[in-house]
Amino acid sequence: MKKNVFLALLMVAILLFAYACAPATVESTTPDDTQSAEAVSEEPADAAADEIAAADVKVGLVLTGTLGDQSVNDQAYAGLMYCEENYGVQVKAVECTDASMYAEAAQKFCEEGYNLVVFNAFSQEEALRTVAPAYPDVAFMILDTVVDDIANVACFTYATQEVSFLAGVLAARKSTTGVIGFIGGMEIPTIQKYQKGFEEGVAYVNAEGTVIAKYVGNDGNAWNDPATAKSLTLDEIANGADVCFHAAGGSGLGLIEACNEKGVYSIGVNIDQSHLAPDTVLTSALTRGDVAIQIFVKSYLDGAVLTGHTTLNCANDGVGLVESSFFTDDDKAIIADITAKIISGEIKVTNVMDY
Amino acid sequence: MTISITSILARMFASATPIALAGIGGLFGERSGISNIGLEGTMLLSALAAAVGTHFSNDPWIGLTCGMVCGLLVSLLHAFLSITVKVDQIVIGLVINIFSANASVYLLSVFFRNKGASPTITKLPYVSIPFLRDIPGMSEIFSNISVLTILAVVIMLIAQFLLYQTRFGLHVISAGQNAKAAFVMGVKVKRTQYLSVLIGGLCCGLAGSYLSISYLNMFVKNMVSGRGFIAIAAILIGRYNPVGVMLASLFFGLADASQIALQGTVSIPNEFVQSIPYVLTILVVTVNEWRTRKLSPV
Repeated sequence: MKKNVFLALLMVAILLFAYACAPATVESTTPDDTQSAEAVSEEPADAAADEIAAADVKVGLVLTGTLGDQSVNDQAYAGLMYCEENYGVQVKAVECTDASMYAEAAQKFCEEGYNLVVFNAFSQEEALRTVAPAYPDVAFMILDTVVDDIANVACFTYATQEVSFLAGVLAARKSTTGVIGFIGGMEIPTIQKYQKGFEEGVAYVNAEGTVIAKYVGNDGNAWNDPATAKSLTLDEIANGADVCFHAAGGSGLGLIEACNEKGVYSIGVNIDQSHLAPDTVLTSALTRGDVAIQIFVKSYLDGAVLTGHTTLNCANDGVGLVESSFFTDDDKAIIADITAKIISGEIKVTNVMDY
Repeated sequence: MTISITSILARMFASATPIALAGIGGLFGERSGISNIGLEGTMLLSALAAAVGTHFSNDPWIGLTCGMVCGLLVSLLHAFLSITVKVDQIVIGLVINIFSANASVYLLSVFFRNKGASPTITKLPYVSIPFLRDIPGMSEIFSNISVLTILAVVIMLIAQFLLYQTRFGLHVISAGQNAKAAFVMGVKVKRTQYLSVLIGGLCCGLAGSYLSISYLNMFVKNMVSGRGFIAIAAILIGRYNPVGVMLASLFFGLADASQIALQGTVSIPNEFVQSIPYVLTILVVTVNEWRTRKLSPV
C-alpha cells in the first residue's frame, strides 16, 4: 500500500516535471497563420537577389532560457521585436527551459516553413550543428561562437576589446584617484581581451592611471561566485579604485554590489546593468545580440543572406556603451570621437585573441 | 600598492562566516556517525529560500527564517534516508548536491523568470560592536559587521557547551563512536542522530542565507561555489570540535583574503596561494590519522 502511494506520487511528480519542461511559445504575432503557411516553403533561403516580400518572411528565435532574464534572452527578443516593427516580418520566439529543447524547437520552426532561425547563445551550437545541415533552405544564425563550416549558417562574435576600450576611457575620465579596478571571471583569452582593451582605454586618457586587475577563480565556479568577486572589489576599492569594471558573468554582480556599498562607480557588462544599482552603475559595456539579429534579418530581406563569420564592433553598432545620466556633454563628445577613431582605424585596440 | 592588514582581516571574517556556520553545524552529524557531504547543496537551496522569502516579504528576517526552514527540510530528507532508510550516506549527500544545483536554477526561473540571478533584495543589518570597534585599527571590521558573523561566534559557544557539557552532547559522541554500545546503554541513537543532522541543516540554512541576504543582496546561480565542501574540510582540520572548526574556518578565510590581496601584487601565481588551504587539509588529516593509528592497539 505504502509503496503504491509512493509510486503514484512519483508519477505525478514526473508528469508535473514533463509539463514544466514543455516548450512555451511566447508570441505568434501573425493574425492569419493559414495564409502565411502557404506562402513560405516555396522560397529557398538563398533565393536570387530580387526583393523579398517582408510580410512573407518568418523568423524563429530559439531562446536559451525564459524571457524576463534581463540578459541575453530579453536582448534577443528585443532584436526580434525590432525586426517585426521595422521590417514587417513575422516573428515567433520559443522559450527553452532545458538544453535538450533547442534542437527540437529549431526543427519545429523548419517544419513550419520558417525562413530564418536564430540561436542566441554559444551553448546552442550543438543543436545548430544537428539541425542546420538537414534544412539547407533555411538560413540559421548563432551568436557568440564561430560556426563557419556550414553553408547556411551565419555566426557573430563581439569585438569586446573595442567596447572595453571605451569603458576604460570613461572610467579614466570619471576616476579622481587614477586607480581603476577590473575583475575577470577566469584568466582566459576571452576575458583577457576585455582587460587589455580596458587598460588601453585607461592609458589613452591617463597615462599615469593604473588598473588593478584581479580574477575570481580557476574553475567553473569563477562565473557564479559573487561573494568572492565582492571581496576582490572591496580590496581594490581599499587600494584606491573608484571606478570598477567587470567581465565575470554572475560573479560580476558582486562587484556592482560592492561598488554600490562603498559609493564608487561600477561599469556593467553585456547588457545594461544599471537596474542593479541605479545610483552607482556608470554605464555598461554592451554586446548587442539584438543588433546581430537585425543585421541578419536585414541581409535576408536585401536578398543576400549573411553566412560565415561577422564581427560585431563599433562600426556596425554591435558593441557600445550605454549612455547614462552620469555622462556630461564632454564625455559624450569624447566617446563619440573615440568611437569614430576606432571605426576609422586611427585607434587600434589590441585584440589578444588575434594571433 | 599597499597591502592593508585591516582590509585583509575584514575579508577574512567575511569569507570565514559561511564556512564556520556550516562547519560547526555539520560537525554534529559527523560526531553522531552520519556524514553529510550534502552541506553544499543544503546551503545553496537555503540561500535561494532566503532570497525568495526576502523578496516576497521585503523583510530579510522572514527571509532568514525561510533559509533556516529550508535547511531543516533538506537535512530532514538526508536524515530520513540515511538513518531510517539506511541508504549510503555519501550517495545521499551527492544526490542532494546535484539535485540542489539543478533545482535551484529551476526554482529561480519559476520565482523570478530568470535563470541567472534573483533581483536585488534587502539585506540583513550590519552592526557596530561597542568596545571592539574602539581597538585601534579594528574599527573598519567591528563597526560594520554582519549579524550572522556575530551569530556564528554565539553558535560556536553554544555548540561547544552542547557537545561537552550536556547529556545530549554525550549521546551524540557515544552514538558516533559505537552506536550499538550506546543503544545498549539506553541512548536513543536514532533520535540523537536525527537531531544532530537537523542542527547541521539549521546552520547550513544560516550559512546559505549569509551569502544571499547578508554579504550579497541577491541569489546568483550556484553562488555557494564549493564553500560547503570547504566546510567539510574545516570540520576535519578542526578535529570535529566547534572551537577547532571556527579556527579552521578563520584560517581558510585568511588564506582566501590573502589570495585576494596578493593577486597581482607579488610574483607568486594566485593559483598557488589558492591551493594552500587544501594542501594543509591533506597534511592535517594525514598527521591526525597517523597519530590515531599509532595509538590504537590494532
